[in-house]
Amino acid sequence: MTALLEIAGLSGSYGQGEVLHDIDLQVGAREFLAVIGANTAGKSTLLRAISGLLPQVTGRIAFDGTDITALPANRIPALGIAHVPEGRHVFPMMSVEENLRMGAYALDDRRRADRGIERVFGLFPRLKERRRQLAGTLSGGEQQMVAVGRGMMLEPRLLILDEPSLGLAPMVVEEMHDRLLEIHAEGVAILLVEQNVGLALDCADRAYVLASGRIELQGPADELARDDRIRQAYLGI
Amino acid sequence: MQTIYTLTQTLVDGLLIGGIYAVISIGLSLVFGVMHIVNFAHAEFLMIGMFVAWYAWAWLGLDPMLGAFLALGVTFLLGMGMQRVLIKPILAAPQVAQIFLTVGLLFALENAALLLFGADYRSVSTPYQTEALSLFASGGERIIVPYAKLFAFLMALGLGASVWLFLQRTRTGQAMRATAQDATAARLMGIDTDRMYMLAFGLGTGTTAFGGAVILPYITASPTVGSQYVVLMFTAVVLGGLGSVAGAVVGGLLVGLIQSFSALVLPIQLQNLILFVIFIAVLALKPEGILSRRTG
Ligand SMILES: Nc1ncnc2c1ncn2[C@@H]1O[C@H](COP(=O)(O)OP(=O)(O)OP(=O)(O)O)[C@@H](O)[C@H]1O
Ligand SMILES: [Mg+2]
Repeated sequence: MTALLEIAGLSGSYGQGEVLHDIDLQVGAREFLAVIGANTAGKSTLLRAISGLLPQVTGRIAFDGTDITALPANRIPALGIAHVPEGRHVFPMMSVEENLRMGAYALDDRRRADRGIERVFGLFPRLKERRRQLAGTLSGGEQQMVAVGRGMMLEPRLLILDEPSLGLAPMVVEEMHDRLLEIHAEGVAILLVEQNVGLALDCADRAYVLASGRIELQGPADELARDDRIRQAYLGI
Repeated sequence: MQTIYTLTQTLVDGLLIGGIYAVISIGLSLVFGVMHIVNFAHAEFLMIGMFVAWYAWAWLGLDPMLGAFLALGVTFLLGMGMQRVLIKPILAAPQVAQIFLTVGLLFALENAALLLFGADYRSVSTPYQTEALSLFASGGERIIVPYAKLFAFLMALGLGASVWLFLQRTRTGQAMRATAQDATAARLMGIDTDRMYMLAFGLGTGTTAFGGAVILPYITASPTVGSQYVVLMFTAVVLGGLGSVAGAVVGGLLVGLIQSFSALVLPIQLQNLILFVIFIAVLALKPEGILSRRTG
């Protein structure tokens, strides 16, 4: 079986020092993968490298067998990779619905976008009530729904999420993870970076632990959840 | 009765010129809104637009209202070229470098115009130039609407509405707004932001040049004509809120009205005094512009 996303020998930097060192990582089709690690471990940088936002990368990133290492960021979504960035990055002066429609920009298909909107409203009914409201005036949790919903508008094969629970109330976090599991159950592969390690290992099939830009550990999520090193370092047990 | 006529006339004059300020400010605002760069050379494109329209009139016999479209096209391409060669490399540079570049560009364009077009003042003659609409005439009183100003206003209105529709309704326009609001997110949506920057700069310079071309029947062109507009343009944009197209329209109309009403109470040499007092007050009290809404 070949992986949907295959990363081999990836190193990367923003221009000065190297931030990622020799990373190997695979995401299988329909797999739910978590990447955990301390602050500044390089989790967001790894996701940016996949999406073409990191200025300097060496090694190889392949999606569905195609080398995408040198592809500019704006060519990535059309392949079926949606990236929900850290900090939400909604378009503040656009309505909820306009934000969602921007998520389908790469599809360039009005009818698929219409269907996508309904699907996202099914996932997050709250957004339907707020469809005309400017995204910049929403609460943090609602903005995160817009960001995830906007990613789903692409009908992605791989959904990349960077700390979707950052700064949200515990109840909203739970709800967000339920939605991610729902999305995964529809057949979308998920690559989740999460600071809430307990929750991430709960949802994921497999996980990688990133430390100082290197893969330190990897394995099935339930095994990692029982690993003493993880329990001490990240779960505080 | 006399004061009603005087006030209405002042209102009409203010709106007619304010419409022009609006359209030339849209261009400046668009460039700032999308690229977050303050283009001090922007008023030079008004001058270039006037000269394109003047040559179109002198050589091809085109009325400036038609020449304006030529001006729009020429400066759209010129602006895109300049963005590619000069602006793009400094987009991520410190603000000081950007200021040096666009101020340098201002002098370069002005001097290039002096070299190419000469220092002469250029004007056109059109059949409607000296004609005016006379409204509500009664007992020696009337409201005068010169055709040249009316046509220029309507053209400006038409272009402003077109730009607005383009930004709201078209796929490229929406991509441009997305780029303005969050360039990183825009790239993650699959938008080629470099292309958007180029298009926005071209559209911005083109819109302002169009505004220059349509006033040619009542304003003479010269290589330094931009300097008469640069401060008004910045005032309009700051009043309405930097980067907002609707704000630029409101700001432009306000500048026109303030100018025109100040002339009622102050000598004409001081017509911009009240304007600048208001400008400074807005900067001090509500620097995000009088139209802005706060977002979280
Ligand atoms: N835009 C940038 N330019 C230069 N260096 C950066 C940039 N963004 C991040 N870095 C550096 O790269 C390293 C990894 O940062 P990254 O944001 O990937 O960490 P992270 O694991 O996502 O952390 P967090 O949990 O805080 O989000 C850090 O040392 C950081 O300072
Ligand atoms: Mg991060």
